[in-house]
Formats: sequence, structure tokens, C-alpha cells
Amino acid sequence: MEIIMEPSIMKINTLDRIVDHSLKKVPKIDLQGVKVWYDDFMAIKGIDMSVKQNTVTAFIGPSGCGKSTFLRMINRMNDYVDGFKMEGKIKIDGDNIYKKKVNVEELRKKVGMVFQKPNPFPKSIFENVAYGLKIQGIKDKDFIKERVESSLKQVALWDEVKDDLKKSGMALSGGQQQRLCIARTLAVEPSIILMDEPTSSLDPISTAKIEELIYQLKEKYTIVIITHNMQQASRISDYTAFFYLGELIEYDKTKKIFTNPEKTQTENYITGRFG
Amino acid sequence: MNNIRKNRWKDQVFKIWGIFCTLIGLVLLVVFIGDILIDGLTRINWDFITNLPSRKPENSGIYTALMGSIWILLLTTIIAFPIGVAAGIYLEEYSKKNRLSGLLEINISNLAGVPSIIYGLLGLEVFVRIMNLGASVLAGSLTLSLLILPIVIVATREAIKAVPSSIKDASYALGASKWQTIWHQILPASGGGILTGVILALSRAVGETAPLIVVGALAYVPFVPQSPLDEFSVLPIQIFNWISRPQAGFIENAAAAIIVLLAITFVMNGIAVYFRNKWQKKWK
Amino acid sequence: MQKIKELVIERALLASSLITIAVTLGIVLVLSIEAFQFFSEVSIFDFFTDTQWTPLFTEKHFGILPLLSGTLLTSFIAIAVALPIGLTISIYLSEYAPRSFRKTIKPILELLASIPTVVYGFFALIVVTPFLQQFIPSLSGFNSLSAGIVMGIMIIPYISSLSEDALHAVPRSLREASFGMGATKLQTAFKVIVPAASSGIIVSIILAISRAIGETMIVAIAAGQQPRLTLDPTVPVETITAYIVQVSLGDVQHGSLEYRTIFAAGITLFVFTFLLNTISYKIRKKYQKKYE
Ligand SMILES: Nc1ncnc2c1ncn2[C@@H]1O[C@H](COP(=O)(O)OP(=O)(O)OP(=O)(O)O)[C@@H](O)[C@H]1O
Ligand SMILES: [Mg+2]
Repeated sequence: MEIIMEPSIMKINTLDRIVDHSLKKVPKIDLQGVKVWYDDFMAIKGIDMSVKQNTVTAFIGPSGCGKSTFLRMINRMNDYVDGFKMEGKIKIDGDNIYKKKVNVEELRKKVGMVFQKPNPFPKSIFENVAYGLKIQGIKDKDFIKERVESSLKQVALWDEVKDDLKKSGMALSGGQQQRLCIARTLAVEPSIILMDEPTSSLDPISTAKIEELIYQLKEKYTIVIITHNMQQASRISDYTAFFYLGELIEYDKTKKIFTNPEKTQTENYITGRFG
Repeated sequence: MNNIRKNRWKDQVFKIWGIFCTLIGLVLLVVFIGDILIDGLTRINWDFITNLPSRKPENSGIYTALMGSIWILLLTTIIAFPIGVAAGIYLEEYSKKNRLSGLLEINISNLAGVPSIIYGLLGLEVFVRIMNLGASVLAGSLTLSLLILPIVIVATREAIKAVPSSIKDASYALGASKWQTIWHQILPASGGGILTGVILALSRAVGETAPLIVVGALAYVPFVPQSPLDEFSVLPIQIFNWISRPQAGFIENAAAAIIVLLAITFVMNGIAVYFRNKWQKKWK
Repeated sequence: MQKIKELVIERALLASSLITIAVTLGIVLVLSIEAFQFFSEVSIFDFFTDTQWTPLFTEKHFGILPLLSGTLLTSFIAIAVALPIGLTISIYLSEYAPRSFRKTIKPILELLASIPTVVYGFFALIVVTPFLQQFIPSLSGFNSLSAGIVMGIMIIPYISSLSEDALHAVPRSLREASFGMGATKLQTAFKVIVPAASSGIIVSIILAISRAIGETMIVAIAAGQQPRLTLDPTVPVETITAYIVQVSLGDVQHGSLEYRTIFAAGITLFVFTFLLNTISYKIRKKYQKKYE
């Protein structure tokens, strides 16, 4: 099997060794030779990368370098963009998700996504969390109720909203909205969660809560997160990938990237000398 | 007078002229409605609403015309609403930027500017003659449906466009299909805007006269349509008919019928504005 | 299963939007087939040069010019009323009026455009004509003057609203630049804002003209039904649209030459408005790009 990881990444701490065993050497997400175009503009210029199960991977890099584009490849959110073209393979649990017969809706249930700006539906809190289940055709009311409750509990929002689940999701504070959006994603039980700058529009306290949440979610989910905040990347992620102009410049353990990067570009970026 | 003062003075003069022009529209609106109220208000009573048309102005009523208008309104809604909204959804959510979508767009924009009487000629030939529906309520409704289709489509597109794309993204990201996203998220979120446009379009249909005359709607119908294939009249045609008569009594009738027609039009416009305001608040 | 459902829905939606193409094709086909048969009996040369239009008389003439002149005369009067007033309103509302005033007045003015045209016809015939007769005793009961004036009032909001949108879309920075050089609001409006919004204003004027040419009930009620090649606004005339109404009200045999005249008249009207609409669409597309 093609594992494109440096030996240095493979055995640094015990956690990784356990993960490697459970994986039977198949990475959770495996991206091979990914190239992306918007019309004639090449946004991703050929990237190989693999992400391990139950880890948090941070994508960093200057604005416009293609982080969001690359992230959205993993749940095929770029499919609807006018002029989108791609090359390469993206495998999740060993299966190429860009094969013809792949059911995109099924894929997205497995790969959840949280966006930069909290985007609750203009519906009640309950309906927001239940939406993913309802569109799967689940009608069992008790099951839905239970799942809504457990999802809201996971994001520590339950106690704050349990008395007015009928209230519009848009009436919550920004931080609460974002946790609601995460709960909504958890409700469909994905195995991967993609987050595109999930805290960039939040205040420091809400940000801290979400970071805490991400740390806990790692036990059950594989998380990929884009952030412009270097402290955040170093606090919450196990691995960090640095992108620049559509290319993956460096990808390694977070500790390594932030203490002893291989490339000067990486060093310059994380020390704030450009970007 | 120096230059600066002259310019200031010109500025003031234009401002007054601007206020004058703006108010003249309003004044005319008031004069206009006031005059019609004076002419027609005394004529309005329950008999006027429930009487059949008659040769004597004082016995004449608008019953059949009013019922005809209601028939037209209902049938036109049933036909134009689903087709117009469906086409709007297609253009906004499905069609890719290509020759077909460009053609559809310029075509709809052109249709919106085709004079209503031309739709009458189309309806006369296609619905009345070829489809052999005769001068029926159905033929009239089909004609008016085509007439308001571009308005409904444009309004639907505008309303859908106003829904933030983040809502769509969120729905897709949870595994919803395209249609599920449209049905569960986009349509509820744009419903107020779509409704506004549809009601405005229908209020236009209620006031249309010329295409229905061409289709063959009658000025004198002594019965209320019982089925979509019956002959009919509508309020505007009744009004037109009364205006064309020389007796003063019919002019009074026309004014009274105009009051009813304007009331319907303004109520529909009011409802539309209400929905628009309610809906716009949602996104602020 | 889900996939099939999605596909069926997409096809149904596509079919709905294709109906609009069918409508256009229908209009063009119906008008041209009937007009073609008309022109197999009447020479196209006569149609455009004969100065009389008397298809309903025993001595038949088929010259469209009197109907055209009636249409253009009433439209011209309407535009002459609506253009200065509509433009002034748009400039006043966009450059001078307080925000709250603009927001209340615009929908009220737009109410003018939502009044059914048969109502305007009543107003022109019963109120405006008698009123004008006090000053112009020779004014006949049916005339293009009152019809044109009332039609002008009706289309004021077409010009004022669309032009105001265009003026309002001009970036604030342009205004500030002009004020910064000591220009008054008036100078700024006419030297900077109006030129910058010119394409939008032109579009609104073209649409208003197209609307006036196609207007039916006001002219059918107040301008008369006497086709006449004249520029005199005080006498009865007949427009293309009014003629179609006149024939429709009578009992004309399907397939007769009289029946076909309304399609020949209709295609003339359609060609005019089609050209105007296409021009305005092209300008609008170009102008949208400018601000993107
Ligand atoms: N829908 C699109 N159509 C055309 N070009 C696009 C589209 N989306 C992104 N791009 C271009 O692709 C490049 C990468 O964009 P992307 O959004 O992935 O960057 P990013 O790294 O996420 O930036 P940021 O940090 O600002 O979010 C940019 O140059 C952008 O302009
Ligand atoms: Mg981004």
C-alpha cells in the first residue's frame, strides 16, 4: 500500500503507533497527485498527502494559496463550482471518492464540514441538528431526539439551549452558532470533519471553547482544520501542512514544523516574515 | 451675483422643481382616485356586487364579471405558479453557463417586454382555435399565464439569489442532494420573495383587459362560469364596456366597478409588500 | 432510486424553462404564418405606402401608415410627458431627497404603474379630455393628446424607478470627488452622476417607449378608432393596438382577410418592441459588466 509518510513521522510517540496498527497501514485520507483548476487558473498544482485516523491536521498558508480549495476536495464540495476541473485520486479508507459511481451524498455524510462563518439554517435549533438525519429519510422521532440531544451535549451546547430548542438557530450568539453547526455535523456521525477557519469570526472565549471541543473530538473523528492562527495550529493539531501558491511546501508533525522546519519558506511564514 | 451664488441658486431651483415633479405624481394619484370615488362610491352597494349585467344601468351589477375575474385568478395561479417557479429554480440552480442558458435569459427578458395584446393574438390562435378551447376561462387563463410567466420567473430567480450560499453549502455538506437542498432550505428561505413576485404578477393579470378581449372574452355574460370551458367576462372588460356606452348611468357604473378593481389590485399589492418586508427582515 | 428522482425533477424543471422558448416560437410562428397569408393577398408595398387603412369598409385599403402614425404620436406625447418628469424625480430622489423620503415615495410612485390601464383609459376620457376642452375648444372627444398625457403619467414610474436605481448604483466616491472640488449637487448630478449612469437611464427610457408603443386600453378608450395619417393631437386617431381591439370586439370570421389584418398589424408592433427590448437588453448586459 502506498503510504507516503516520512519514517520520522511514523514513530514519534505511542499514539501514532497505535493509530498505525488500527489502520492496518491504510491512511484515513490519501490524496495522490491532486491538481485543481478553476477555468484556466490552476489552484492546486499537484499535491500528495495522507492523513491518519484520529488525528488533527492543520492546514496553514497565506491567503489564496489553495487551502480551502484543497480541503473542499475531500468532500467534493467543489463539484458545483462553475469551471471546476480536477486530476488525481483522493482515497478515503482506501476508496477513491472521485470514481464515477461514488454517491456524493453518502460521501458527505461520512465527511462533515464546518465553515468559516457560522451558517445555521434559518430554522429552529432542533431542526438544525435534525436536518441531516431527516434528509436521510429517518423518521423515528425518539431516535432523532436522542441524537439531537447527544450531539448538542458533545459540543457542550445542550445546557445552554435545552429549554428553547424551538428558538431559531440564527438567534444564538456567534460562538453558540458555530457550536450548533458542529453539532449538526456530528449528528450524522461522520468519521472525518473538515473545518475551514472555524474560529476566525469568533471572540477569544468562544474560540477557546471550540479548540477544547476539537481536542475532545479527536478521539472519535479525524479532523482537518484550516487556520490562520499559528498559536491555534500549534495548540490543537498533531500534524501541520504548509501550503504556498497551490503547492504543499512542507507537511510534518506540528512540533517539528513549529520548532525545526525543513524549508525556509515555512519558517518565514510561521515566524510572520511573509504571508 | 458671483458664480458661486448663482450655482447655489440654480441648485435650489432644481431642488424645488424636483419636489414639484415628485409631488405631481402623488397629487395626480390622489385626484384620480378621489374623482373616481366621487363618481362611483354612491353606486356601490350589495346589489351592485350581486346583480347580473343589464341594459338598464341602475339594475346592472358586476357579479358575473367579478366571478369571471376570480376564476381567471385561480386558474392563472394554478398554471403560472408552478411553471414559473420551476423555471426560475432551473435557471438559478441547475443551468450551467452555456449557450442554452444565455438564450433562455435573453428570451425571458424579451418576453417580459412583449405587449400584452400580442399574447392575446397567441392565445387566440393557439388556445382558442388550434386547441379548440373556444373563448373559455381556460383559454383566457392560459393566455394570461404565459403573459405573467416572465415576471414569476424573474421574481423567483431574484428571491433565490438572495439566499446566502452558505446555507446551500451547509446543506450539501450534511449529505443533502441538490433537490433536498432546494426543497428543504432554498425554497423555504426564498418563499417570501417568491410569493411577493407571484402576487404582483397576479395583480397584473387581474387588471389585464386587451389580451382577454382578443381571446374573445365577452362584454355581456349573463351567467357565472361553471367550468373552465365556459365563456366568461372579467371586471376590466365590464368596465371597458360601460365606459364605451353613452349613458351617464353607465359611467357611474364604470367608476364603481373601477373602485372594486382598484381595491383588489391595491390589496394584492399590499399583501405583496407585507411579504416582502417580512422576508427581507429575515436576512438582516 | 434517489438518483432517478433527482434526474426526473431536473428534467421537469428544464422542461418548464423551455416553455418560455416555446412561447417565443409560438408568437413568432403565429404572427408570421397569418401575416404571410395576409401578404399573399395584399402587396407589402401597399402595406407600407398606402396612406389609408380601411379593411373593414367596402372599399378596402391596407396601408399601415395611419395606424403607425397614431401609435407613434400617442407614444411621443407620452414620452414627452414622462421623460422630463421621470428623470427629474429620479435625480431628485437619488441626489437630494432624504433616505426615508425616498424609501416611502418610491413604492407609492410604483403604485402608478400597477393601476390597470383600463382605469387610466377612463380617466383620460372622462376627466382629462373635458378638462382640456376648457382650454382647447376644438379638442374632439377622442384625441391623442389626453390619451398620450395619461399614458405618460402611467409610465413615469418606469423611468423614475429604473433611472433612480442606476443613479443610486453610482459609487459614492465619484460624488465625493466632485463635491471635493466645490461642485454643487446640481453640477455633480448632471456632470458626473447622470453620465456615469447613462446606460441605465437609456435602458429605462427604451423600456418606457416600448411600453408606450404596446399600450392598448388607454388609446382604445380615449384616442378613438379612426385611422388617420396626422400629427394633429386634437383629433381622433387609431393605434395598432386599438385596431386589434376594435376587430376583436366585432364578429370577424376566422380565416378571412379582416381576421388576418390583426396579425399583420400585430407583427409590425412585435417587430418594433422586439427591437427596442433587444437593444435595452444588450445595453443592460454591457452595463452590468461595467460595475462588476
Ligand atoms: N470558485 C472559484 N472560482 C475561481 N477561482 C477560485 C474559486 N475559488 C477559489 N479560487 C481561486 O483559487 C485560489 C485558491 O483559493 P482558496 O479559497 O482555496 O484559498 P485559501 O488558501 O483558502 O485562501 P484564504 O486563506 O483567503 O481562505 C485563489 O487564487 C482563488 O482566487
Ligand atoms: Mg479559505
